[in-house]
Amino acid sequence: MIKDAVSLKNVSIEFNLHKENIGSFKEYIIKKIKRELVVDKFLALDDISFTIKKGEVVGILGFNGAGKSTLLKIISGILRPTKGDVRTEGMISPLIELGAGFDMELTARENIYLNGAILGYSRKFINEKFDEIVEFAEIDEFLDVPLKNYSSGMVARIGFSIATIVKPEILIIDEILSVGDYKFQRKCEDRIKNMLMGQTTVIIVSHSIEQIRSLCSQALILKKGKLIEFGEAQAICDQYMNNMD
Amino acid sequence: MLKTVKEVFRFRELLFELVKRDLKIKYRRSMLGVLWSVLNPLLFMSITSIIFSTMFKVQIPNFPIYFLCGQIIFTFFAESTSLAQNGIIGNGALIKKVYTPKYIFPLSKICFALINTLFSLVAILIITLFMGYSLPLTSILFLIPILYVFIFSVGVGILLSALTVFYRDILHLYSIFISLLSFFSAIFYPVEIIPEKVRTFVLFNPVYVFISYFRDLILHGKLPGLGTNLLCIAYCSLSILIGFIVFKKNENKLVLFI
Repeated sequence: MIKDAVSLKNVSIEFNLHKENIGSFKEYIIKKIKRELVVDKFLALDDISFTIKKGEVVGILGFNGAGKSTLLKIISGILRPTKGDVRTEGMISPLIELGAGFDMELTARENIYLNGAILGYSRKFINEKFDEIVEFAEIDEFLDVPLKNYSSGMVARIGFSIATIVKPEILIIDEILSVGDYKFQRKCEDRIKNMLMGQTTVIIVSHSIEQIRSLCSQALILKKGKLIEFGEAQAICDQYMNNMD
Repeated sequence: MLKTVKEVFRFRELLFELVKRDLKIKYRRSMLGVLWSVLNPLLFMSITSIIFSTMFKVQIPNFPIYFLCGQIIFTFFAESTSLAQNGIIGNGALIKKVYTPKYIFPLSKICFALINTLFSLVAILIITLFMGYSLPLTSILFLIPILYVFIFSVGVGILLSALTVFYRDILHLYSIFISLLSFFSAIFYPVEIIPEKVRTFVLFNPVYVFISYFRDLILHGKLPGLGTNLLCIAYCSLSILIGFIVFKKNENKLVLFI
């Protein structure tokens, strides 16, 4: 029996939109007394339920502000849902932003260890995989140069290289396949395709319909925080394209 | 709470890497590097000694050592809690992007301050050699008061780091509070000069309690009694308990306010 890798049950999340950013006691008290303390609630995700089976590759489609990134953050445990239940099975490797946690003052070598630790790898593991990470990112000449002197494409390459060095059970990708030059994008896609053979569950947010079509088996459409459709990737992509017009 | 301790253990490599990062950045590209942690209290002590040592000559023998003991313990508390206060906000970008236990960040700042403090202790060693003062046997227990300050700071630090996310004013208030506290910790004067009525405030000020514990070991060759130790333990437990409860209660909300 194939197990569920991710299952969401009636998940909602609510953000408080502070129209004016209240950041101090004084302001807070004044506003409270004047009864101006109106907090607008914003439902970023509204009653979302679905399950993803192990080994599936799921694309998330939707316009800007539809809640795609929020959904990914909920799945990776960065945000907790206001209501509902999220269950995940296995280690998650979140590629929500490449190189989150890089320190620009440190060198590439030091950042690889730091970022590895943030992602929960052991030092021993990074030692073993170090050459592989460097080789994939193609940065061996600049290993001991502080990251602030790198181009943004190179930083993203290191980030991708570290995050995908493990074979995670669940890989979460947010819009990052558009980094780097064409050659590197191909390399990333190849690596992700490789992971698919290894039974990794992948969740991808992308604005490139082509990418979703070529990588995903399933897809879903989000609109204003609601789940519109969930199903077979090609059909969903067609539907999304038609609705756009 | 046991679960948290286990989690810290699981993330010890991250903690280690974060502390290493801070240390590297602090000393990178300065020629004297880590030596500054020793020089800083020494220079400060020299200035203070010039100004105050004649004033308190009678009450305080070995003024430079008296001052250094107070200064190092106080700086440890002040530095660790102030850095920890910024721990969550400063790592906001990261906390929003990757799941990590959030208290790791303030905790790493306190460990960083601990390492700086251990370097600073060399200053005491240097000055005792310089003055020809022989350290009493009780000095070997110097890690006990440092451990107390560490635990106490962890509690205060995680409490501040969480509250500061919601109320940024605390950032400014706390720096004022710290300078106020420095005057009430008897760092450069004998506690006896404070009027009796308000002296209790100083005597029960946790930071002063730790400082005088440290001075008893280094300067007076005296082992602090059971009462003092119980007081220290009580302060530490209270601090950890409050910090932990407040932090845990707000942990999931933090990310929405960074």
